[in-house]
Amino acid sequence: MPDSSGSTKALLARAGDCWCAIPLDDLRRVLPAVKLHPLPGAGWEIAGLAEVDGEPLVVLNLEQLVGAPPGASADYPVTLVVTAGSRREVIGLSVDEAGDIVQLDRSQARGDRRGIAVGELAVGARVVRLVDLARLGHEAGPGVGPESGHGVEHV
Amino acid sequence: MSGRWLLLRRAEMVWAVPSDVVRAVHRRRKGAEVELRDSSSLQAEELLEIASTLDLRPIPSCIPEPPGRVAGMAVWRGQPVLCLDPAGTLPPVLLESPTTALAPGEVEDSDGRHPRE
Repeated sequence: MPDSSGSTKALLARAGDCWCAIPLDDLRRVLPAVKLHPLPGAGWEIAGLAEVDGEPLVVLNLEQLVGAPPGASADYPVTLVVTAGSRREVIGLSVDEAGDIVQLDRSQARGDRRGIAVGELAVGARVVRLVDLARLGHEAGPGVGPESGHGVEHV
Repeated sequence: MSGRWLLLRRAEMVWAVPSDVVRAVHRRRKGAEVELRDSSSLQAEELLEIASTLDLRPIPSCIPEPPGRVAGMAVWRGQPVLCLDPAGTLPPVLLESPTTALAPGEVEDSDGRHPRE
């Protein structure tokens, strides 16, 4: 839970060539990459449909959602089970690697919005993109639109 | 949604069709054709089962929906399932004939039967 100063804990996850910060408030589980069943003709953000503990799970590709360039192939890809959108619905995020859990200050995020990434900030020696999963979906609110440059307004 | 579902496989995905909208099922050499009451028909690579119950979950509203309208998603024997809403537009992939593997120069007849059959 972010405190009044904007400080929050986040999991670092690599998506393509970018490291992203996923606030722990949105994170339910971290799993080895689940088996995906591709949805024919679905949007490029959707990695596929999966089964997790007897429940269906739509899995999205974080690399696409934050506009990250492709990176090194994943040795230990993982699936993050998160809550997203204004209704905090449960979805999966396909990422290439899970890293540390860090404390960061949201108010320090700078730079352009890229998809659901609301800015960049330095975490140690890395520059990471801060992910705001509430922006996912039609009810994401102001700031999600063509100006983001990555066309996520329809997500 | 309650009732039985016809489960079929197409394009690496298991799809569920409410059985009360199914008029007939025609087996083909490659898969099957499922004729619906509105006279449309679906092309399946494999017929799986008629399931008496599926625990339907809504597609999260924060993601783009798959093509065509689906009533929700479920799990059947450990596999994710997309459940069709027959009132909506059917996903194009279900309307196309499955790819067949005929030898060069061979053609199927209008029922999808192999010429040697």
